[in-house]
Amino acid sequence: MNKEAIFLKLKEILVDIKGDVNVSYDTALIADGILDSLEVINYLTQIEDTYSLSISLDQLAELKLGIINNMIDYIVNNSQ
Amino acid sequence: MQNQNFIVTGASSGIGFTISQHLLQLGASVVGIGRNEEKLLSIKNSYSNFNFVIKDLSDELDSLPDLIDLIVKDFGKIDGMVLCAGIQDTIPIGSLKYEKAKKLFDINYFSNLMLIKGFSKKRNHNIGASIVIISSITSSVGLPGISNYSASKAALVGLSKSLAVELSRENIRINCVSPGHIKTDLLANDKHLGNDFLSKIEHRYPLGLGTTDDIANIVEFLLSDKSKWITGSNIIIDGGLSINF
Ligand SMILES: NC(=O)c1ccc[n+]([C@@H]2O[C@H](COP(=O)([O-])OP(=O)(O)OC[C@H]3O[C@@H](n4cnc5c(N)ncnc54)[C@H](OP(=O)(O)O)[C@@H]3O)[C@@H](O)[C@H]2O)c1
Repeated sequence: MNKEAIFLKLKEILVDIKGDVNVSYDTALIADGILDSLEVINYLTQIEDTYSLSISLDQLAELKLGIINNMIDYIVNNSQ
Repeated sequence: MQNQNFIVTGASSGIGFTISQHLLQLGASVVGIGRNEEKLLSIKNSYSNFNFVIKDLSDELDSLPDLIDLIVKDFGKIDGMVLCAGIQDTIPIGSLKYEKAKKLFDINYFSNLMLIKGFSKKRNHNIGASIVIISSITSSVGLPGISNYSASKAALVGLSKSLAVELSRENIRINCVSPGHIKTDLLANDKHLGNDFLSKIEHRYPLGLGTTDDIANIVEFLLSDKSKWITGSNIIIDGGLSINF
């Protein structure tokens, strides 16, 4: 799976949720205060639906999936 | 309640399990409905007056009135039914999909409607029968991310009020119980809540979080003759959450 394409898709999801948003591979969506708690769930659910995978809130914290690069790796390794 | 016959949906876990236990310990017979055969079998092993039917309540909803017919055929007329099966899914409106939303409504709302249809047949219930529906405090206070769940629970309150009048001529009472948060698998299975969810919200409960026994006690009362003049009510049992400023 192409990392660049996943990055663009994640950006598209974030624009849906936040309006215009400036993110890079290193952006930490939660630690940097970009997404609040409800927006995080919105982001996760849209990723789950797009890539047919399941991510719990606890996994998000444990695997630091709030960092865009980590989420991209997670999608590459887990999507069906 | 000794020797009376009850149906409990969601008997395999959490609130429904504790309600079943209360009724069984009072000497009543209970037919539990659920999907988890292992859990239902373990209740059966502890109580000879417990029987169960394996059924996915999101499947073939039109057949649910017939399921009540079959239960009555096997175990006799019913004195009361507790509609407890339910699921919760935290999904903000921005990512809600119709199919998922509909499935939740099938389990939380439509299955109950169809089970009550079966129960309401004259040949299926005894005189003075009582139905208790487990709604939720989220049917009347706003919690973000669970709009569809809250709507399904509010629908049950509306349903019970209309049916309380309609079924009064059948001598059936019907009431809702709306609990606040209780530690059960419902919250653990909602993967978007996180395992620290309850500790984060506990401070909002003046009396602290409740237990499944707190809910079973009120359900027991509503099934009994002690509540014979109560119908169409929605009893909020939330440790003071909804009146806390
Ligand atoms: N816990 C709370 O904080 C809380 C607060 C307010 C209201 N409630 C309500 O209380 C009720 C009981 O919840 P709980 O907290 O005891 O949760 P729980 O421990 O997860 O129990 C849910 C029950 O519903 C059954 N169920 C779920 N989907 C089903 C399906 N498709 N077909 C048949 N049975 C199904 C499950 O049985 P199987 O797994 O065997 O299928 C299980 O017995 C629910 O309606 C819930 O909305 C709970």
